[in-house]
Amino acid sequence: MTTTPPRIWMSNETPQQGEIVRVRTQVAHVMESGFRLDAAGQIMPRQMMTRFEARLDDALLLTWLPEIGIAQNPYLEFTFKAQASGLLRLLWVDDSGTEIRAERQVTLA
Amino acid sequence: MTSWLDPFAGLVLSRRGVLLGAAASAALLPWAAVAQDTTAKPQPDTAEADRIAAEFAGGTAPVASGIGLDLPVLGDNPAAVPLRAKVTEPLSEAVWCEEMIVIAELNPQPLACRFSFTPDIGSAEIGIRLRLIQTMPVRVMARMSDGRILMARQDITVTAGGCGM
Amino acid sequence: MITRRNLLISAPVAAGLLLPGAQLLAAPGLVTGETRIMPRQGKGPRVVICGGGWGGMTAARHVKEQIPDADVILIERNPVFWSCPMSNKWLIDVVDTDFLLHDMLAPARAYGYRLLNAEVTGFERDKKLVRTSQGGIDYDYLILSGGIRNAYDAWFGEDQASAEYTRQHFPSAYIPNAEHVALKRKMQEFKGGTIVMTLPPPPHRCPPSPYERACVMAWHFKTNKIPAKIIILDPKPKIGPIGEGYRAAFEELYPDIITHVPNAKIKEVDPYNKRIMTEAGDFDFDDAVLMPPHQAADMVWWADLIGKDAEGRPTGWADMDARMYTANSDENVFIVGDSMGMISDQFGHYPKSGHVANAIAHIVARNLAQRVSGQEVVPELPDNLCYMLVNGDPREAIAVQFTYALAQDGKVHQTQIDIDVRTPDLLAEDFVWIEGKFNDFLA
Repeated sequence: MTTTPPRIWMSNETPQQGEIVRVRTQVAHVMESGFRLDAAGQIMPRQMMTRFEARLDDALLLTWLPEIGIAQNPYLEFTFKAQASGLLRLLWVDDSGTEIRAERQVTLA
Repeated sequence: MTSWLDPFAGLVLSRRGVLLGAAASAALLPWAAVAQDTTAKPQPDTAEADRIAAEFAGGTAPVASGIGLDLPVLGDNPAAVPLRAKVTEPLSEAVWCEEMIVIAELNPQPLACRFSFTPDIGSAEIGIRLRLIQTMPVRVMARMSDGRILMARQDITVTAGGCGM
Repeated sequence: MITRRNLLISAPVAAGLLLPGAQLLAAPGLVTGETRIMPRQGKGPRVVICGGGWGGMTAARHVKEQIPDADVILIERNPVFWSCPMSNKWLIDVVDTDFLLHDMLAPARAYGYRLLNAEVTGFERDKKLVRTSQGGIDYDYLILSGGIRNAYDAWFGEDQASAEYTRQHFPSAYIPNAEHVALKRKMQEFKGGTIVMTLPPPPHRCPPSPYERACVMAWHFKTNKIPAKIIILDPKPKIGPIGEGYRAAFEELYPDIITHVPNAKIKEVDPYNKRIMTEAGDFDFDDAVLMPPHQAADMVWWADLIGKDAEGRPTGWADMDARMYTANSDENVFIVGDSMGMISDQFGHYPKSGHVANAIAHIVARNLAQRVSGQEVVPELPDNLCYMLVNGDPREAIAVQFTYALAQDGKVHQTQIDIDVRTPDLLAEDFVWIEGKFNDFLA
């Protein structure tokens, strides 16, 4: 659905064992709160990114559940401890069921 | 021009159309009908924030330490206020951070977001962008696997500006 | 270039010499003794646009398209177009000079407006007359798109010598284009030491770009192992816009080169002894990029259209209607781009960017066409988008997006979203963006 790739930055794709790797992500999303009015005074339908998860291969690292207090084009930064090589798999889901996925290979040095 | 920012390009175009329509109609339509505004209202006090905090703590008394909270004192752009939070103690497979919440205490819905961590992540550090409807305290709470509840709280002054909520 | 310029100027003058009667008829009330040039063409209104930058060139094309029988004249003092957007990237050769530098006659021919290569020297608005270094031109509607001027007087008062010394030795390089060339050479020839960069206080042209300039210069020094320090003296309490994206870039990419000093409001500049006194301390420098405060272009002052604050002092920016973009004291004059005055007490000024100048020029062209044809004038709001390069290898950029909406209180409200994860794809999108803009006003 999206033509805009998620913005992803990783501090190191080939970290040492035990190194803390920093990941910055940002996806394009309106984060419409369901509170705003359009020109006709009608409520603009809620459309929120509601779930994010990060896995290394299949192992879940974290989940994030944003609410309306999170900015448009939601930004998320997190860190993880590099303990094995694998595929860092990122998933965003919005409340209409739209999914955005991204992957980055992490290879222990 | 801005469609690259949005995966729902069609929706954005129609929304922009509506926005332009709103502006366009200003001279023609009665006052109330030109609203491009929000029904979101700030919380009158921190009661709802306190309720969320109590529910998260589950009867354990929070300790006001162990979380590094990095939040500007002055939020010059209320649509995207940077917040970083980190459990400062070393984490291990014995003691890790299970869950973290961010409460924007006077926002219409104070719970801004919730994080769940697994022991595999080996860390508990996050950065997000809040939208804040007004000046308020912001609270971050963390539940550790040994049952402790950590907490940090800071006031932020928000300057005028649309928060997009 | 010189040949082309001479040809361009001589054409209308020659036409005037051949038609002395028409000249006299066109200038019954002229008391300056100046010749009137550029006789009217066609039966439509005469629209004169002063300033051939992003705003003026966009306005020239789209006014002509919206009002096909209009006689559209664009006045620009520079013989070529030089784009300030992308010029920081040019400092480290991400783009070459041909990318920024463009012929102005080609779009004039392609879109059917006339280009006058002359300096605007004054206005007689009661006579609807623009005075230029080539002669007088009358108008029905005037569009002022002159950009900014450097307000050195904020630092030096009446001391013209110090202002001129500063401009020559430590150019701001925020007004195209000779100073850009000087800055690039200065950067390339720098052997080491401390460079101070003063940021203008808001509002100023292109708020995020001084930080971008610091990043590309730092990248040049880092890559070429030049022992340089860059001290950014910022009058604001923190970096912004895209504060987090820049903070990360400064700390992670250039920790040994860039120092950002907040709250560094300028108290005194001593260009001779290379010393700056600020509210955040005093700084000595080996070289500098000294950006004085910005104000509306000279032409807005000459047109006597600068706003005044409650105490009667000039605001430095155009006194204009925030929704119609017309001067408050003269509805036949539109202000486009960086010279524009305050829009809303909620956020102040629209960002003084090429994107906004282009967007406002489009709106003004539509509004003027509605007016000329007797239709309802429909006010419209711009948007803004800026991409900023923070790393030269890999080439990574950040961005900021602004949207505007009319709120229930009748004021324009701004929402700002920083895209602060630095990635290569944002630079790729920057090129798509600028290609779209260049295609809009360059032929």
